Amino acid sequence: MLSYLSKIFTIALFLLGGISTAYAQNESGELNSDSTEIAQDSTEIEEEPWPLNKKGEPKGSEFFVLSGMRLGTDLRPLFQSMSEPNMNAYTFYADIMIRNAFFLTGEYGMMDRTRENPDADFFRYRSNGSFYRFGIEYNVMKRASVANALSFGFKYANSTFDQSADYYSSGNGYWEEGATLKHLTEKNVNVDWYEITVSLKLAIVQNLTLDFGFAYTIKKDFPPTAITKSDIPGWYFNKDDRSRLNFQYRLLYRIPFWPIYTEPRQKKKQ
Amino acid sequence: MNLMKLIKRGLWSLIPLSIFLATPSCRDCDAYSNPSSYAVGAFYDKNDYSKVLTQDFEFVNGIDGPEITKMANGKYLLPLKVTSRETGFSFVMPGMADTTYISYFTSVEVNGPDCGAYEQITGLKVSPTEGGTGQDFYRGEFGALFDSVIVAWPTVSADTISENIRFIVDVCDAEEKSPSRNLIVTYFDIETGNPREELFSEIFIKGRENDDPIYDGSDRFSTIYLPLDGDETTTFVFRQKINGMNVDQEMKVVFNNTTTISDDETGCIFFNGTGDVLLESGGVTGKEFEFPDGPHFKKMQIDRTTVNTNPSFPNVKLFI
Repeated sequence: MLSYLSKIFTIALFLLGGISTAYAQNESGELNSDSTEIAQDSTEIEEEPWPLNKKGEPKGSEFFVLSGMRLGTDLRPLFQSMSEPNMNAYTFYADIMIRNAFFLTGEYGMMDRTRENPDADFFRYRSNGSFYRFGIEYNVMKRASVANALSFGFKYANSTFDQSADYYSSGNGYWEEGATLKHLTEKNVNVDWYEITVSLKLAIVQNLTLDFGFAYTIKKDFPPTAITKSDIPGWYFNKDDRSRLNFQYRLLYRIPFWPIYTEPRQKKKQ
Repeated sequence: MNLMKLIKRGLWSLIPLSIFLATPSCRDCDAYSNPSSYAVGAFYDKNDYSKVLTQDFEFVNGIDGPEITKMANGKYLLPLKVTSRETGFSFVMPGMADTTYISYFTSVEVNGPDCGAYEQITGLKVSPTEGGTGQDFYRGEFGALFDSVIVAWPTVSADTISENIRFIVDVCDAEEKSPSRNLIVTYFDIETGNPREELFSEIFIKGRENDDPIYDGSDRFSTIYLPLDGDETTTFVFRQKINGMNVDQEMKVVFNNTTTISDDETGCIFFNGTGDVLLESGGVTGKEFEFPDGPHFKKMQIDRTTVNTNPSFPNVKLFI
């Protein structure tokens, strides 16, 4: 059921991307063919009808100027859910753009993954749980582009999951203990970690952005468990509890509540 | 044209994802040779950690289990009960023994679908007592066979070289110290049970009466040191002159010169000490013999079977 939903969700996102594409084409009459053009068109930015206060400044505090909100999902777990029979995972992502400089991000996801040995019946591992992560990203391309971004971020993530394993115990012949199949379950395993991220956000069509990048995950608290934490929701495959480089590939849709506010580029010298 | 560019852009954007999807297949998969329920135990001299002690134990076993044989590398594979969280082991040397309890827990190591999962014993701790609090290290009591027991590596694997548990023995330095060969004998009053002084005109080893006697009757003692002779038995003769006649009484002791003992003074271990001391009378060995007719001693009694240096623990009590 979960697999079915996640697949529908994936298809819906792609449809959303297609609709957005069509919409963008109809609205502007011509699709911006090069994201660089979007990025460099500062004239458009200055003409954005940003709501101003009495002083003629953008509404909100001097710094905290909302520029938009993006919703999306990580395609990685969705693709994996489609390609692997015993994995069902999805995420919901949202961020709030402050000016075009800072992105306050939050993400929530679920994962249910079972690993089995198809050739033998003595191994089955299941990890089932959820995670969340939040943090902040800083866009170093804040003045260069309104549609694209190169951001560096710092995030905190927390995952809670159950895991179980069917495994083979060889016993000990000295004590006349024979080999047996055993089952072990651990409930509510909680781990958390930090992430240092770098991501490139590229507009593919209006308001639809691909966000791909890397997150160096630094474990904060990985308590010892009786079962190896092989798969952790949000962290995914876990090897020896070591910090690792993770990959993200999100599809984001910007809800255009507000125009993107960015500081005007300095005019070129004549 | 725009549609083509859009398609091209979409395809380019899939490249990072394809890289990611290819990456997981490269992850390592540990070999399936790790599971083991045998901890490796090795014995070291406290004064020389460079090599494993090769001294043979008389018997090593899991408590209530059969004997465990030594590996060719001088170490022992100590079988751990998978159905329990503690396993006790007994180490018996001729004359001495020690016991260690190893506690642990099991975890399930998941390696992935190709390698499966296996049960791994980890978190090894040691304790000198059953059900005691497991520790990474404990020191044995003074004079115990093991000076200390140390967890060298807390996770059990199939490796038979790297030891999990190190048993440290404080072996006496042969250049500085040698085991005592003097039998400690104390006279007691058979009526009061208290030590008493006595004077013998001569005390000598049977067959050597023409040599210098061990004692020649110049002083009265309650405790005397009688040097053992030979490897298995020594017969001492206690002589008194009564009415000008030599009145003798023999005391024959049997012993073993290859006994493991603990030095009274330092607690270090001698592997070639003298132990298993017993009395022999009329072809019978035992710990106690009574001689109603004396002539000197009414009763001989073994009090300590190992020959050592502390006179507070005599080997033989002779009741007058």
